[in-house]
Amino acid sequence: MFSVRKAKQKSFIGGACVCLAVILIGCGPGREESADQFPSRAIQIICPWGAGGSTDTVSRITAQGLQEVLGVRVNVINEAGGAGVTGHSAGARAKPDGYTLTMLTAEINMMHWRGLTDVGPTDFEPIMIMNKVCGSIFIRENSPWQTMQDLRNAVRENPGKFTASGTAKGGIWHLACAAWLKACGLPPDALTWVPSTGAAAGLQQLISEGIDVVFCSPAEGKPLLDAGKVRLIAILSRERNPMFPEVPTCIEQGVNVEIYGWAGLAAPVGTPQPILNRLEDALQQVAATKDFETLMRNAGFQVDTENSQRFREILQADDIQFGQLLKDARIVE
Amino acid sequence: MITDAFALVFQPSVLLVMAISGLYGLFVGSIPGLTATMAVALMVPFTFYMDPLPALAAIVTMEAMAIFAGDIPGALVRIPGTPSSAAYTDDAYALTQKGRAQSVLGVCLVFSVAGGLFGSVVLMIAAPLLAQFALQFTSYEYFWLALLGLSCAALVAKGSPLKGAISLGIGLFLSTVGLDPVDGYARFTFGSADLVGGVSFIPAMIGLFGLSEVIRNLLRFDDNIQVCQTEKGGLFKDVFHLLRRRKKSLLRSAALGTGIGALPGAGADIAAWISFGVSKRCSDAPEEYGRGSLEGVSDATAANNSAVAGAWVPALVFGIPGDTVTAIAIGVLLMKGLQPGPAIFERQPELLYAVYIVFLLANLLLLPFGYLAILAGRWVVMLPRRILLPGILLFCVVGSFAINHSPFDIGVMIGMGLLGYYLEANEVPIGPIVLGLVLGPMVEHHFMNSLIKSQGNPAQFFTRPVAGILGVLCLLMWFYPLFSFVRRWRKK
Repeated sequence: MFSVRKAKQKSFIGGACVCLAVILIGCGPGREESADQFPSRAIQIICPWGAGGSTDTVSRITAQGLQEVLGVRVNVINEAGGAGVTGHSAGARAKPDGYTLTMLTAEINMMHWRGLTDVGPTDFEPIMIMNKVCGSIFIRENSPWQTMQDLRNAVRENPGKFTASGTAKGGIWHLACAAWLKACGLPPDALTWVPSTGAAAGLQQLISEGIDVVFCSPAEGKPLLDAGKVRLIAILSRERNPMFPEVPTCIEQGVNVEIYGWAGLAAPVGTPQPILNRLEDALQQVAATKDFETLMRNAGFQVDTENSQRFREILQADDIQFGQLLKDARIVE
Repeated sequence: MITDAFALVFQPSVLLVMAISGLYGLFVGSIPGLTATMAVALMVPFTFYMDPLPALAAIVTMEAMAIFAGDIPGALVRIPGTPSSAAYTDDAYALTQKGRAQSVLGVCLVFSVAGGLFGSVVLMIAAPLLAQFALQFTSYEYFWLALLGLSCAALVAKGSPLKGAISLGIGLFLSTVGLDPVDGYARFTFGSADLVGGVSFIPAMIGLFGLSEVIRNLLRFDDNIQVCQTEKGGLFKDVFHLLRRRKKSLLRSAALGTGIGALPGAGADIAAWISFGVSKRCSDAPEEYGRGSLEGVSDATAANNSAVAGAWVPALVFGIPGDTVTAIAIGVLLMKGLQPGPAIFERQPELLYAVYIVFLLANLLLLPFGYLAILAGRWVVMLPRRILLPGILLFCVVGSFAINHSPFDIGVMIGMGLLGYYLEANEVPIGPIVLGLVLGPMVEHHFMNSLIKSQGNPAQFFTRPVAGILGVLCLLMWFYPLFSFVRRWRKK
């Protein structure tokens, strides 16, 4: 009787020890898993912009593909606000275990120049750029200008008279405007920048004759272009856009400027290299699928991905270009 | 062509999608902190595998249901389920407290359906025309519109105008926290990354309405009473009477809602506020507004549901989203290889007609679905307080966390709850704070943009025709009390 009770006690203690050990293994640093076990649970992608925007769309298409390749849930979480500061900071502060990724956008190279946050491109391990969009110049359908040259001449003759928009002050398309002015040899205040909440709001102001020029991606203006309300006069990339083969680039028209917005997946700095490799392989597979290509193309994006090596180079190059542009346009002192 | 459209809609798969997304919408709308925008964004991956029409039908049905369902927690526990219900939450809750939960929910349901149907009909017959008009709005017009909306604060506030103004001032101040909308300059952030994003609107709203009510209830010491009683009699007892009496004001509210909804950047929430303000000004019993006016609730709830259809007007005609939900819907259409805008009118009219039918059908479906939702939610008020209050608190916390996944927002909710409790204990209304938070950024953004465009010339605010009319209207509204005061003083 006594021994039975003791045995029961023993087995209880033993069981408790096993439980405790399991819990400890579960919580402890010993949980660090090797790359071939990764991923064993759901992954989240922080999207630093609001639901429904282009970055959100890219994030969701990527998450969908990643989910199929990796076999775990991939959730997109919108942490919008503060011109991207909120989401990018949250992403940089996340645990570097590969389970919290961030859909970085070009703004990561601007916000630290503007003194909004300390978080910058060096806080992330770049994995892969999922898409790039170039800038472009839209004018109103009834505008007197026919070509980019006309616009340049008009701005040169009346500096400060005309207004432009496309995004918030210091956003990527504001920098596109600044870069274009610089390439034209015009002063940064020759076109007055009117901040808007995004390309759609800027385009709406354009057709209601509130402003004169919009800088944004060509896809963002396509519905109004089809409706005959606006005209697309130049593309700010190296080559012509396959969606708009008839529209010349700025470079063809003698103004040497190209600028791109991009969205790329990154992990917090300190994430183990094998996990980064596993994620990059998975993303390469996603990008190669027919589904991904169709969804991206239909959403108005060309499939234009870059591997982690190129991503790192782009981050560094952008950081220098954007910092210089922000200073030239006197957006930062 | 119309028969093609009917054939598209009346398929078992489309109807099933509508039913499921309707239930989903009711659920999302009635849980504070889950918004229609978030719900639609979560639905996007599912639409990858759908045909264009079921995908659109799912979004439309979900949104219509969610905007109505937001009224249910607003009326029962004083937490608006979506921001669109904030304008009349106080009135609806006051009616519940008087034991009229049934009639107020019945009115919300039927007037939401009526407003939604009105908006759908306008979308069907006047979309191109209305879109042309809406896209004439520049920052000058938006500035005056937002200012008119703010003036509604003076109208919607119960009690002393001074206290209403204090409350509005607090709301406007809170709306300046974070990056300023024009220069991107960080204001009142004290170096905190959380504050760069500003005071999050939804946690603030949940705290102001919901938590403050929980605190007030906690401080009442009798433990076992129910929060309130409900009356006997059907849900629709007051509805038919009210419908007959207020045909004109229903039309006015629904027209106002559709029009405001069609303006990009102004959605169902602003529509409800303005409609509520106008309703009070036109009412025979303005003193009831803010204390439980069934008329005010009916007008505002009709406006926010009609604004849902209004937002699709510029989206379908020009591909410019009227609100965040239509922004996502446009993305979904694009992914299906469909370009919203004139192309869709020319190339796929049957799809367009099918969308119209979906709008009508979704609003009609709202009647039985909403009825069931009310039946399901009604028992909440019969719970004893010691069970109900912790439950509400839990929803406050979860709801404020869910919107941005940020623990900081729970702090915002608690802070605003304490503020709301303190203010209401001193008879300062909290509605104007919420209005200030909604419209503050809009007023500032459009005012600054207008000044940048006109290079500081204020005359530009009046030179465009629509801006001129709105501006004069606004100034008249502001200075009317002064005129009447001077006249009375002269007579003496």
